[in-house]
Amino acid sequence: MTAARSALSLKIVSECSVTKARCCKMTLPHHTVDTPVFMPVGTQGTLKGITPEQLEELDCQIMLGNTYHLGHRPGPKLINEIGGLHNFMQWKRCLLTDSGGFQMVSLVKLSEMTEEGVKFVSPHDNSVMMLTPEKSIEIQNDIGADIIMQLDDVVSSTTTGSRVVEAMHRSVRWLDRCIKAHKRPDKQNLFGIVQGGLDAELRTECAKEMVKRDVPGFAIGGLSGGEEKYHLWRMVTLSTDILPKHKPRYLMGVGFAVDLVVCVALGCDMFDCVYPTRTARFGRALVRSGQLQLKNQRYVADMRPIDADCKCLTCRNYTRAFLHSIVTHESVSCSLVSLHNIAFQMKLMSDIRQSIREDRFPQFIRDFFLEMYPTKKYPEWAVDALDSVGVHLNDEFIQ
Amino acid sequence: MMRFILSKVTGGARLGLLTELQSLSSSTTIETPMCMVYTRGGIAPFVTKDLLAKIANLPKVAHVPLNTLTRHHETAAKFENGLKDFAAMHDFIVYSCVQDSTEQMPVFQNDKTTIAVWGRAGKQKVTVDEYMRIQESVKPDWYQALCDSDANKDSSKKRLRKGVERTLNYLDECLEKHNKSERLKASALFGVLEGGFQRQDRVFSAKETAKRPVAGFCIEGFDNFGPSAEHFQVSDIKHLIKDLVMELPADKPRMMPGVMTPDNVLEAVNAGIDIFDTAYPYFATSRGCALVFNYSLENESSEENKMSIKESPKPFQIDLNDDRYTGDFSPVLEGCTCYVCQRYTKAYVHHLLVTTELLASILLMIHNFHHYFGFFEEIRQSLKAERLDRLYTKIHAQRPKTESSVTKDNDLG
Repeated sequence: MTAARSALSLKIVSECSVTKARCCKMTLPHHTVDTPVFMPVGTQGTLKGITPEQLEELDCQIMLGNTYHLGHRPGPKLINEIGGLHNFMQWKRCLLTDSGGFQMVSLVKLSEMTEEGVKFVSPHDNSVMMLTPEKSIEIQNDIGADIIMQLDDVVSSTTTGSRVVEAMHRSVRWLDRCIKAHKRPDKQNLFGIVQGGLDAELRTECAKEMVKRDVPGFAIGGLSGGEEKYHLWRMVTLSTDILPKHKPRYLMGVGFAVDLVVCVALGCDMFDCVYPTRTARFGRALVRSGQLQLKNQRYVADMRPIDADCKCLTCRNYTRAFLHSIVTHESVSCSLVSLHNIAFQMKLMSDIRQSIREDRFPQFIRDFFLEMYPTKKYPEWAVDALDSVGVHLNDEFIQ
Repeated sequence: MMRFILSKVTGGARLGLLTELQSLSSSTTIETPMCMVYTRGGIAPFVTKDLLAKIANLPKVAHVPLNTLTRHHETAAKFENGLKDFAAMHDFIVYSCVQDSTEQMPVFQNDKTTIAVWGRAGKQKVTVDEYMRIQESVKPDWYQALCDSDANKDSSKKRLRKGVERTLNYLDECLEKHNKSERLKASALFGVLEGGFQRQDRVFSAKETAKRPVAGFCIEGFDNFGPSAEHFQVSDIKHLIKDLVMELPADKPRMMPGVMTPDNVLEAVNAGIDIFDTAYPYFATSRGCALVFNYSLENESSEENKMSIKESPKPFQIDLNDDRYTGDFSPVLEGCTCYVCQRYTKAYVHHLLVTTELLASILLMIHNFHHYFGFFEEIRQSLKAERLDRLYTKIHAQRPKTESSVTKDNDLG
């Protein structure tokens, strides 16, 4: 008998000689993913307005599905019957599902945390239901994503006091229950989630406890809410210092370009965020200097593409003026701007990876910030965070 | 300038060829009967151009109604090739027209000098001067003369007569401006035939329009477009159409917008119509329906498909919103070779519909375009092989059995 086959292997390809950034090859059952990686969110078994083949053409390697939504519709049994979410949505590369807990707390008004699980009133038929760690894993086993997440006790990142302590300890206990309930460890990788609010001691304790469990990877959770960036980067860097180097680190819910660049420098490998696609549906296109609100009158006769250097279908074919004329009116404009925004995120991550491989990531960071903030009014938290890993944005003499 | 070559006539049905389409490569020709790709704002609905290009039998003509072009023309004017450059439709022939066959046209909105067009910004009153300025900016390959098509079954004789007269006057004014226009000198101008259900007015309109130097004819004004066009039965007016096409020269193409279901298309083909639009697949898509009628003369429809068509409240399509498809892992249409049917199940499209995901419309538009384009290809092949009557019988056998259709079934065009 051999030991259970691992469903994840992480090979560190290069490490930045200055920051904590690293480039890895993460091999999962459906694809090998280059990290640092951004994972677009396809909540209900589709990335809004984009086909899986188009995503592949944009070199997207892994995307998210939401367990809360998929568990409700079409339901885990149906997904299992058709051979998993990969088959259902015809996506050949990697998938990651969350635990459903976050949506439970953010979308469902009546929910209550108990030791057993999250008790909630179904918004669909008003029945009282319970999402336990075991149930979450059962659903995620049916969905069949390459990476699945433990159910954690989510508290708002701005909550303080005993509730945060309770949530942190409970999350550790729930990880143990998830590990026990996980039926397909050879096909799916269960990640633990480091909690602990904005309290350095709690985070440290949680991370240390999590690391004792031999799961294939770890996420840093509870930091995509309304907390100040001042706290975010401190919690992130503290966590990556404790988490083992040979396992991937996933910073949940973070996806603004600036945050990505900083948090890669702090040692994170994986990111997800609905922002690039959600903002596309409101007609906002991402560029390195920020974003373009295509609805704005100023684009009515602007004959440039969104980004002259971008190779996406949208930038190859359409001007800002044409997009202005259809944006928010014709639904195909959502697809076009989403295609661009995903291409933007993919290019950003690929540029980051290349600069790490060539060991010029610090210079990349400086160039990136100068393009985003031409007047050098850099956000203080970013300056501090980068200072902590040896990249000094405001120091003119060190290049 | 476009030329139309009539290659074969069977009964009233015509097999033709559109050539010398200056904006396509010189060897490209377009066979008729054909349907155009419906666009909104110069772009196909829901489907991005990479996906559109994958659809088999994709017609190279983009149908561009004026109402969806709010203010585009101001920008398009800046391009040498007008809308074609602006909307990145380089590999398409652009046909620009006044009304949108997918949108209901409110009645009694036109007056002596203006035509009401209903766009994003509500009602716009367009004079012939404005119309021609817009067309100069758009710079279409073909376009319609300005026309008053506000007519339906219930229109008064007076209204119909007015529509005919105004439309002829607009045509003369458009022709005059067209001939002076440098930008429109390579564009083909189509005259519009009006007259509602009145034989006398229809024949007069056809006769008079045929006297003018137009490149083709557009027959409209039977209904006010939009959902009302779905109740329009070509079989009710096939004799009227036959009478009026007698007045038209054989060497010019005839277009009829807003003809929906496949049985109506075949009636119109039999009456001598060459060019159609794609309002029908667009409507079906907007409602979450997939076209599933069987037009293959080789393959019999599977029993399962026959059953679902028969039970469907709409003819020729199935409604994928229906909960019966929740766990149906068969393709949208068994045997279909489209991008969607090669990959996805009814269950998945149903899921996308109940969760109101954008991808539902994208996938359905691809399938429905593919199916409708394939149907037109079959019409052309059937005309060549002299088997159009078999296709007609096959399509008619799939109509839901209502009282009125039973009588019509025996009445072959």
